[in-house]
Amino acid sequence: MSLSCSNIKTPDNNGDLHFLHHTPHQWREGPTEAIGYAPKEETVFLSGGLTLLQDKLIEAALNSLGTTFTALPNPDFKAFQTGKAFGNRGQCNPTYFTVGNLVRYLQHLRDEKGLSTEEIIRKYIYITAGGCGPCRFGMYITEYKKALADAGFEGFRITSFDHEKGIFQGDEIEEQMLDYTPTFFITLAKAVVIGDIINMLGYKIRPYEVEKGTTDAALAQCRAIVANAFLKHTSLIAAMWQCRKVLSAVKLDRLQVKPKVMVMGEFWAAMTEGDGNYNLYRFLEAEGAECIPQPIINRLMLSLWEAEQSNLKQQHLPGENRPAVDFSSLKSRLLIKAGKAAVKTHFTLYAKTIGLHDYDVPDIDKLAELAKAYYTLECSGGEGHLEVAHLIEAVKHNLAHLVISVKPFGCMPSSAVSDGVQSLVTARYPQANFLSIETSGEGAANFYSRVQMALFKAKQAAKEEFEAIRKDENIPAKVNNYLYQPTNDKIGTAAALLQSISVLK
Amino acid sequence: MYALGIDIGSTTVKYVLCDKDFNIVAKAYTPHDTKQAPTLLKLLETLSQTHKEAYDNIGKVYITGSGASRIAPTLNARFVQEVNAVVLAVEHLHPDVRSVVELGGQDAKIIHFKESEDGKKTVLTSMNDKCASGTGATIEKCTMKVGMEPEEASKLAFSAQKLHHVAAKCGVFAETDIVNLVKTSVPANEIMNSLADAIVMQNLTVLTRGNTLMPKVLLLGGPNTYLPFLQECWRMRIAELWDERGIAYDKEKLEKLIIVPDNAQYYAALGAVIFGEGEANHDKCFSGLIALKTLVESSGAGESDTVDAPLVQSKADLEAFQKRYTIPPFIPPKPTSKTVCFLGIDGGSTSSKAVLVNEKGELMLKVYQLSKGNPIADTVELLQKIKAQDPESHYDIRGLGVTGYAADVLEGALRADANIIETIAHMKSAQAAFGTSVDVICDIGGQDIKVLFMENGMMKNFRLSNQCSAGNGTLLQSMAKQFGVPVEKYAEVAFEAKQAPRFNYGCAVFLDTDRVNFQKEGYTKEELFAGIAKVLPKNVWQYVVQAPNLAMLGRHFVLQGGTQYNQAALKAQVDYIRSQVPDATVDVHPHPGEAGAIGAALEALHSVNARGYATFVGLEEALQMTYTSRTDEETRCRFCSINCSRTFIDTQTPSGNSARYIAGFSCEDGTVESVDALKSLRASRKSLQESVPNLVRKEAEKLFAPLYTPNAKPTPEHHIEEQRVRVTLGGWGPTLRTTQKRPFQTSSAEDAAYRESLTIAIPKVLNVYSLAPFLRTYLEALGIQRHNILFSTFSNEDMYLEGAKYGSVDSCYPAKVAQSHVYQLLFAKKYAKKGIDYLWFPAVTHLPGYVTHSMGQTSCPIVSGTPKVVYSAFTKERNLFSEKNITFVDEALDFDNRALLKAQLFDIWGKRLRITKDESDWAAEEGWKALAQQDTQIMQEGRNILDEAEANGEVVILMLGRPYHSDPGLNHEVLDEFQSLGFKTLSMRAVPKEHNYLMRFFGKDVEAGIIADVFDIRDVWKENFSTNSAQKVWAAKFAARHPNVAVLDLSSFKCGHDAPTYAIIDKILGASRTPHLPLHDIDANKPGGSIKIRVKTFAYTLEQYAEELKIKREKLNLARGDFQ
Repeated sequence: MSLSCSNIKTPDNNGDLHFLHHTPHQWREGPTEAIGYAPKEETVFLSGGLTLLQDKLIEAALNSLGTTFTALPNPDFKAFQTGKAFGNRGQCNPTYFTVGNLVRYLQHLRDEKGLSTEEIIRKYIYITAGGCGPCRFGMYITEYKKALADAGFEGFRITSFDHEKGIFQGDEIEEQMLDYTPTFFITLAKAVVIGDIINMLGYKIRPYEVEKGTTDAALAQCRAIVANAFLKHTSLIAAMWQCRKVLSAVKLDRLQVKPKVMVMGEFWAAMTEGDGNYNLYRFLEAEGAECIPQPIINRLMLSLWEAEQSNLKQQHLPGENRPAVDFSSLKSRLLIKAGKAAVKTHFTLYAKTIGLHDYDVPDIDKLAELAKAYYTLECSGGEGHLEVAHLIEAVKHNLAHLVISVKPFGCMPSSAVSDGVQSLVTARYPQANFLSIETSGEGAANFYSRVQMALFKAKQAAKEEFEAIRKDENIPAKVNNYLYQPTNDKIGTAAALLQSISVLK
Repeated sequence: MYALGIDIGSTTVKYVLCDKDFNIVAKAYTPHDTKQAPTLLKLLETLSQTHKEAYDNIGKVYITGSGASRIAPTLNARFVQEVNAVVLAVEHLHPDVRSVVELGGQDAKIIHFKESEDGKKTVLTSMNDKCASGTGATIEKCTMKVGMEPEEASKLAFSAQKLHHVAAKCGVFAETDIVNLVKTSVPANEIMNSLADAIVMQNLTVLTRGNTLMPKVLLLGGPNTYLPFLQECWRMRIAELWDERGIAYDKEKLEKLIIVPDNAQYYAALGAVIFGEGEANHDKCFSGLIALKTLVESSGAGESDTVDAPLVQSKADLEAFQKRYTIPPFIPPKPTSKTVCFLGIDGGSTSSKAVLVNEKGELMLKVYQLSKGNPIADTVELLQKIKAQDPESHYDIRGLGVTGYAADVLEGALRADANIIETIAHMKSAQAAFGTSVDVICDIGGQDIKVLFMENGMMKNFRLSNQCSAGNGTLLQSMAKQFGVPVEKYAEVAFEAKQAPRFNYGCAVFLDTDRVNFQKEGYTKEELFAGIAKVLPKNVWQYVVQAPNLAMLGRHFVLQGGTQYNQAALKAQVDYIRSQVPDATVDVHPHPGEAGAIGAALEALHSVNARGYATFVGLEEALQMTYTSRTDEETRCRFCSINCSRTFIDTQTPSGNSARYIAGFSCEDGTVESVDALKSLRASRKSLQESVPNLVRKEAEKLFAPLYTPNAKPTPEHHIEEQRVRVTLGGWGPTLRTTQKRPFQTSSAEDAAYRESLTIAIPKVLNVYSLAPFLRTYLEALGIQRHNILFSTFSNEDMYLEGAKYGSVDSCYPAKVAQSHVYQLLFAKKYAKKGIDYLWFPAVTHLPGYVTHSMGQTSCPIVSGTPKVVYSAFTKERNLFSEKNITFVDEALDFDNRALLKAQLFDIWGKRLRITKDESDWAAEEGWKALAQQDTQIMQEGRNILDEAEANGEVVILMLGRPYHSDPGLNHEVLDEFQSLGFKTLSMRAVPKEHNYLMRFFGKDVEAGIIADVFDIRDVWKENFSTNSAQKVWAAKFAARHPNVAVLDLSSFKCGHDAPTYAIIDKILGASRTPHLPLHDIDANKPGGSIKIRVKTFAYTLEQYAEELKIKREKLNLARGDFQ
């Protein structure tokens, strides 16, 4: 069936036809008979679904802890189709992409690697980040299970650590299988943070490379260096320092006028690097733009902020059976504080080492302050108030020539709520160049054409900004070194560089 | 130097040749008839001769339009996005224009130019989905359907006097509505006006994303240029909006404010040039036409991955097929004496059929009539055909059975003896021909696909196509028509193909897009025909039935419906079934097209025999039947503010049998004409509500009524115990809790008097349906006067359209209609005169829930986010709330945490209502009591119904839905339909929640340790944080264990919280074999016909189920609860 109509309504199914000609019984989820799962040393953990670099770094980081991890390949269009074939109808497309990707990988193990279905079920576990509502993200496990059962892998284990509460959703796996110790989470967090940092630098460098492909080659080298450091338990700081040298070798011409495009929106659609958003980043770069992606730590910081808010609200409330001297709120507070500090410290440490100077871990409180007149902060689905806040921040602080909010078709918090609110934000800030765009419900051609439409204005704005600056005859060589990252009120990289030079003089 | 701008649209090719100042020196515009490259080549070759000098000096080439990307490289042209191009052309030519509406062949665009305070111009643009219907292609198709010549359409004047409902959301939907209007004899000009209005309103409500089209407005694109009635409609509707939104404009100069410029069709081409020249990143020069010529010549098909196998593998294959499946021609037996027979009429959507069967049920005669629009006229012609075949009047027609789309009209007009729903007619017919061993009956008619699943001769389940499915008879017909092949020759042509392109299935618009593309790729007519025939089985089995494995359905398949006469379609079907079920018996009904009519005739035979006499007026009378059809101000329904436009069809037979059939109403009130008739209708509805209760309706009404009287408020003499909470060291120390007793604090008498003067309105939407008694009681307890607490009305389509014009997002209908409720509270007279002070639309983040061991009790993110979305929509251009002096109260409420809820309520209302914290807390407690009282009462009624059902062996219907599906405007009154068929209905709230009662059903699972208690659903769904979804799943589990409960499962289109539970509920009810009718994807418009056929077919299976239940109970005294 064609994938590109958001109006297509599938006919109703009244009752599963599988049960025709069978005697009535009560259906229950899960395998009817107990499965003898393999011991830890034979078990392979599968994961995936972040950026390409992060998936690989996580694989290395977790393998370094003595368990076997494999990162799934980047979900592509075929994964999406598989997801659609086995998933419930009416899901959002990140579900189809990620669920389909797992099913396809298992099918690949079965059909090409020759493993039996029983062996796959016994030996493999899929580990994913979970959620606890209120958007569809929290129900992904339901989808994984349905698709896996329908594809013939009933009993395959899915487990997730909830980003909010640290509790487990999905199948409870035996405790000794995975050590969810602080070391586990810290190692994981390091891989994510380093991935964010290198990715951000990649997006800053690639648009200006003199020789096509050199940035990607350098990034691949960085990936190998960091992965190796994880596996060999050597210093990550040293690895980042090494990466700095690798990246410095990429020849740049940073005075090309390019519009800066902030990409945000629904977490997965805005993060994935492939068919899931029609390769949005590569497309923007090919069209002559520089992208500002949202790092994954944003989402992490949002979760910590939500936990903090919930604690703040609860601490003043009366409650039955609570001790007269109650330390529970303090405990949560300390944990959250420690979590925030850990992310910030690691981020700053690694960022400074590799040379990412102009990015700070987001202050969610500040963003909430920007958004609160527009968005009910208690509504915690999806990216919560962040989409609205990012747009306001981008306009108020001159961060981008264009803000693209990308989301899957029918994304509840993003399409149905944030976009509705953004219409008020753009009315209040008419100077904002803002594009909200869904990744399905229309074909790639339409998607690209809308992006181009918005990009046109951004290019004009970048050009105007650049032309308004007095050009100096003597351009110091450092402008073409990525380590030189001036911050001023100019948006475009070229404009900001020129501005900083003239100020220096 | 000159620059060439080319625009390759979906239906036409245009170019402009400009000098350096963008003056047009040459231009051309021509339809391309799917041949884009050859058409462009021809145009440019002509240009090279007519403007040789300019042609030789073409520098850069810029190209835009949906078909541009393939051609661009051949001309070294720079591709420019269409909307950018149009924006630039408009900025260049009309600096004073502030909005643009462009309707193209396939798409629609709206552009707003906005100016910020610093004088910077920004542009807001929006485009429709490629298939939406507000476009030229739909208008063209519909013009054909109403039988209007294009010239006639271009002379039509717009009038808003008589408008009918047309869904403009999708081309397929619009066409269906148009066809129905044609059939009810609505004049062509009214239909075209209705279409224009629907398109304009769709664009104004959806595509503007809530922004006002500010003057001047430019209308661009083919339809806007060539259809003055469309222009007039835009002018009228836009001016209405301006009036409504207080935009100042000169009413006399409307023509100059909403303009259609000259050369409108060249804007994109010209804009492409302006855009490209401005960007200066295009360094390639025009390269001549050689590469374009190569492209034109090299076109051919067969290389791509779209190639599929042909219909016929070999000559032997075809011969074997034809031998087995060629339907022998029917030679009617010629009676020589009076023969008793029964007439069956199937008034279908595209054709009508009539048959005569004799007393043994054998076919005597069949006649066929392509529908000409009016069902009565069609029927009279059918009867004339019968008469003509029986000059000596041997047929003694003793009864009439009717079915199909026209059945209700005919039943009244001719006093038919039987009126049965199509599905049942088809089932009876198939069983008459092939006995009760049939497992699957598949009927493919002109518009619909019906698949019935049988077990031991009884219908166990069915699947019906919806508007979206396209693989039906009409598709084959229109394909044949497009290529000028008579439909009878279709198969002959299709069998010739040696390969076939692989089409998408599911949607007619996409199929047509594919057809155009495949034609472009060079596929032949034969191959296209074969490809379309192969769409059919895919559409039936993969899209409508969605069965990955046909073998589970059984072994004996019967195919019927007129489409089976087309051997290409039939072969595709048979091959598909055989490939899936090699040992299947696939039979074709000997009279596939008349199967429905035969079923109706058999039913007439049966009921006349059972009753002993016939009601049918007789053939002679029927032949002289006359009719009138009227749709005017007199026929309009006046019983409520919606004022439905109705059609009266009055029929009369010579002996004075007259009947009136009323069509076009949206509720039952529309079925009567006088106030007295309405009174008696209401009285009978009331008595029906008593004998056959519809608890969903009852609940919807009671929820908002003041049924709870708050207790007397405590006085300062009253002492309360309070837990004091002290957070130490700014949160870095322990929290200290002490308990103390102190007097209840009250606000002053002055404050109380102030509260008495306040009016607070609450929209009747979303989770207010879960909480209304709480919200009302909280306010009442605080001293807000009962009559000063206002709720909006139930939803209806007109109200939706009123408020939707401000909409900025296209979410689910329940959320979109919420905005219209707020709009109603702001603007409807009834509320305006009350002088509302506060409009309370809380963002409910968590709900009270009874499912235990759940991951949470959260409400849907759309539900909790909608208040702010509504606020944004109504404050974006002007603040409508402050203009009306109303405070919009939308703060969050958490009903899963009572302590937090109290804090939130006091934060919201403390200052606004001048109340103390004690008063607020106490009022909240009263609110909980009110909610509990409501629940208890409705559960008692539910218990009564369930107990009675068990005692009498009845089947009752439990509605699974989210709380707001109790709104009759959202459930499309399906429950009322069941009620009128004699089925009692329960809401989920009405299911008793007493532990002992439920242990009867869940006890075994609890004892076996499968679940922890009766409200635990982890055995079927673990990720159950969504309160409403979890409750649906729990209710499904209950239904699966209660033998007397059948399920109606409602879900709104795009519902993200219901989607993960579709398969779960389906499996729970499927495994337990609980009768189950899902109506998913319900939306704003009521699909009346599709609901009716589903309800009636389901009712039939329920009757059979009740029979079985009875037998089973008698034999085994076994309840379904014992199956576990």
